[in-house]
Amino acid sequence: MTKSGKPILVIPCSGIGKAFGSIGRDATFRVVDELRKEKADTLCLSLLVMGDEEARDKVAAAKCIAVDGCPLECAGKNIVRSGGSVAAHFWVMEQLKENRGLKTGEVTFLDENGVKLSKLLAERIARKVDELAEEDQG
Amino acid sequence: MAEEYLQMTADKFIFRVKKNLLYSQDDVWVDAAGAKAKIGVTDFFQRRGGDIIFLEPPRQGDSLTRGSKFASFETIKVVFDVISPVSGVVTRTNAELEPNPETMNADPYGKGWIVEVALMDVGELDGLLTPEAYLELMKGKVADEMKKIKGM
Amino acid sequence: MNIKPKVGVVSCSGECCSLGTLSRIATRLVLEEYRPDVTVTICLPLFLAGELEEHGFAKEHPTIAVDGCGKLCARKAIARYSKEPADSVVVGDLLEQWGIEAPASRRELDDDGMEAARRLAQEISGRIDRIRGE
Repeated sequence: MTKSGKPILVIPCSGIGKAFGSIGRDATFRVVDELRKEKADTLCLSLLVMGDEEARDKVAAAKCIAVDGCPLECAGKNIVRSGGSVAAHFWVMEQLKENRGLKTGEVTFLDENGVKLSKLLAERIARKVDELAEEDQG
Repeated sequence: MAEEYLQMTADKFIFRVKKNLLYSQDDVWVDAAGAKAKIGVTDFFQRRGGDIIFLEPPRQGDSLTRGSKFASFETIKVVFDVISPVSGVVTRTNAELEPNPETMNADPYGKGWIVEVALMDVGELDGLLTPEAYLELMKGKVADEMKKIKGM
Repeated sequence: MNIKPKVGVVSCSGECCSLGTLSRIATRLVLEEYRPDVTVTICLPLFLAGELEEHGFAKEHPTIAVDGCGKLCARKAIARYSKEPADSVVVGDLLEQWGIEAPASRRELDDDGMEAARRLAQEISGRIDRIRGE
């Protein structure tokens, strides 16, 4: 929740074909289920895109953080197309660029480097959640 | 746009070969004009590699030797060498690529070009493949690679 | 010559609950272990974003939708933007039928969760075989 009461939604792309999607998804769950569980939540991107009213209402009323795996930006694009706005955007690829040694390719289950990347990304997202939560809606 | 390319489909993947370019057996394209050429990697090459995170290109003034590595790029899993299809001197590099190497994935035949080269021997171009010949070569490579990229 | 098509497997993205995670992992197991040579995964977010390859495959090949819950995002998306899936699995319904509880965590599966994922993967694989006439 922001100071004004607006919820914060962290929405990953959850791309199933690449490790990036799995890492972004894992990082999102770390944030909303562990690191900032009182402040942030997530929802199903597919449900949103398929026009579920409850999902659309939630997104319209929230500050959304998009977590995309790769430059195709499925989460960011689909949030906007569904009537939401993206208050912050994270890309797993950018996290990997900053951590060159953490090679990984595992999609189904994250390996050690995948977990490390997920944790690093989760910390960054959590800090952004804090920032957004502090914003004054005036 | 379809007329610009030859293409083949394997499972859900579409592999494109741009017409009016020449190709090497190492999946590198050449856009030659007189004694100059622009070079990049093919759609198949970028797809096989996956999302490119880092690129180590040559620098302006570097010499290229046909058949030798002139650049490498790194994906989430592996490092790929890019083999030069021609010999020459690098006259220009693509400044867009080092900060945004994923451009090679998004637009391998356009904005994803790697270098411009002053050719040492224009005759080397005769040894390169036409788009049609490269398409046939690529079909065989795709069949071999499908299991590795099936998760994409 | 009887050519059997490959089958596209579409899992829901399922961030909301552990059933989505089960769908995802079961789908990956089918793709990687159980039926690697006859399946192709359709990435639902990409499909919904209009990606040509995902759409193209789903229009030309049979698909099986794997949904976590009764919202049926995968099944509805495939039906809406390509054609009706050849088969559809709802993980929540199957677990109930088998007397298995949904996993506690949506981030990762424990041993029981993995067992459920494998059972689901086997179920999906059997349906794929039927789609392919085997």
